Amino acid sequence: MARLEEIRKASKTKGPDWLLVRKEAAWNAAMSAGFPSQKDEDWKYTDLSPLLTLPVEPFRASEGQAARKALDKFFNPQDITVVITDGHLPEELPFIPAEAGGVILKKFSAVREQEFRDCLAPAFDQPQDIFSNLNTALADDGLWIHVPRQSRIQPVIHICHIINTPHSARLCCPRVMITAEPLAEAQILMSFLSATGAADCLTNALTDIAIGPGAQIALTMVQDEHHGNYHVHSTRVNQHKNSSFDSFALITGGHLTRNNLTLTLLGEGAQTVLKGLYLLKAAQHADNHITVNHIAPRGTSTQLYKGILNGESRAVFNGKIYVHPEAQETNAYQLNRNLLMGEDCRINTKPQLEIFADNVKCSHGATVGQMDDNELFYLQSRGIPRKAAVSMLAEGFVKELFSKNQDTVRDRLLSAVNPVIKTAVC
Amino acid sequence: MLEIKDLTIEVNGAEILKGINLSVKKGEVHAIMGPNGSGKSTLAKIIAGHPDYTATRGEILFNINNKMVSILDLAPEDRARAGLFLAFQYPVEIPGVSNSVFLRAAFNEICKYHGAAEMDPLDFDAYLREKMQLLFMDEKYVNRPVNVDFSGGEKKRNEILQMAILNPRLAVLDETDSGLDVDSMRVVADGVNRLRSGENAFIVITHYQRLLNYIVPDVVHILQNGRIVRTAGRELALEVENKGYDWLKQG
Repeated sequence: MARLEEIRKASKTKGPDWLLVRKEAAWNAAMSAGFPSQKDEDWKYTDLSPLLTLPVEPFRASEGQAARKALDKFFNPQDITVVITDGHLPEELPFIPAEAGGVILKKFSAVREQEFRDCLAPAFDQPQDIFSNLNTALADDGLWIHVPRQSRIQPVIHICHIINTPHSARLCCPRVMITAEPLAEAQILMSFLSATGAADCLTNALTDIAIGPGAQIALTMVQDEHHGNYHVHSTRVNQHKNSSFDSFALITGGHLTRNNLTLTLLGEGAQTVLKGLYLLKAAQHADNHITVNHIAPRGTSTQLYKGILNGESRAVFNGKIYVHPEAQETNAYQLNRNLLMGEDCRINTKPQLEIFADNVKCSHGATVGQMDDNELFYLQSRGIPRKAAVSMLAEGFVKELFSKNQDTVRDRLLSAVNPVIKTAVC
Repeated sequence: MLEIKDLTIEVNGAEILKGINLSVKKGEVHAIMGPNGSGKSTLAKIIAGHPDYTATRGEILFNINNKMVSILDLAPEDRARAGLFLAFQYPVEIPGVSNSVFLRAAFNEICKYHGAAEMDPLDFDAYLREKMQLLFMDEKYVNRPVNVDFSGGEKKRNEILQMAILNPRLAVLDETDSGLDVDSMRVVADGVNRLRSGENAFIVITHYQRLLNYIVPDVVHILQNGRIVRTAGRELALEVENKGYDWLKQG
């Protein structure tokens, strides 16, 4: 990425003092580490080389005009919606209604040193990879969502990242931090959308979530960017005692998408449910890397990721469950299922378990298959045309991910997913 | 209504059907009996258009719009829409697709084919429940995935339910009685008898004459080693019941 240095120069002095120090350190760390190649085990099946030669430029605030249309798909007037256009936070953050239970939205630029130390520092102090370092080094600002003790946030908080530039090959580094105090509850929707035909853009997003004791966070992520874009999103979640985290990651867009999701169950009895769906066609590539660290006893983690691949698309699933010696009575499950619709698509799946405790229940598995000919014939023999039968079976394959969810965000997702399935399978 | 002429099918170089001739007129019920491996299920599947079987010789003609038309090149869905139905010996389980969604989609495809308006979900629900009551099917099967966690008997009832909903002109029942207890068999047979009319026809494939006590056939064929070796009236089924199939080999 030839112009990183220039971007760095422009961004170097932007942000509050506490951030500038960290930007400097992150930049130096990123430069000394360098980008990974396919020789790195974590990047074995995802080739970054086309990205590295892109002459990326930063987005400029003026480029973002009305991006409403792209937003429509997942928009709901009841939500608290923050639109982050080309990586830039809006001038003013949205009004928070009374029923929002006192949730606080703040820009990093308005975060004082003391608040930083109390709430945000742990996220900066954890180990970083090159993409999180670059995000820190190059982001001018960030969004902090704070859910106070015992508050139950009714409206969905929708963080909508929109690529709105008409120019290709731009880089943006949006950063979001979510902190939930004990017994707080909130639902977050984070969408990544394109409003224009700009391709070869890179979104390098970083999301940190700290869930206090007994708190519950549901996170729904949608990657629906232009099919020519690069997208790396690292989400790091730290869970304290008896907290719960429920996530869903949908990937329908992007040329190359890498989702890193790292869970650390620090407190006893923490629960986490991770679901994902990727619907890929043509030359799309989606890579889900999931790490669940069970550090404390009696934690539960469940993973279910499914994919439907068509054309020459590629998907990578790498799920690692790491059960530390102290994490007795852990329950950890993992399943990755794939439906390959074409001759030329490919999935590299690697469910992985590393267990160092002796009293645990863990399982993992992966399946890769094609559409079942007998099922197709059965539907056809009842008058249902082949194409409709194929999408009916594909919808059935996907449905398990949505079945037990009553909440409205996932319903919105399902209504966006079904039309994609119809085009993805034919 | 259906004319099968010299139908021959090879699978992996072996002839499974060796020149079948069969003529079914409207209003008739034909029973096809025969030992294991005689080709009964293959015949059922090729009539319905299963992609694993292709005819090496012969024809299947079916009356579509008052014309006898060759159907061997028609897709399974086109045969179904023209009025053919196969009740599967082993109904297929389809996880994730609810029975009611599936049945309504199938029903509406048939409506579309006949130029009739599609039925809306509420009306269809009432129509479906009425048909289910006739088959003594529990309402819990409406929203379950197709055939998933159905008992053997419920799967077969579900086949007859589909037949009742789609109202075909020719239905092929492939060993619908296998795995059924006497009560379930009676329910299934009643379902078939209720649909019988002068305008439609049935081919009932079975091992045992027991089912034919309930669904009384006009003609009985014995299929053995890929050939129809004997065709007669209802009494042939009783004869087979008493003597088995071996005596027919010489005949």
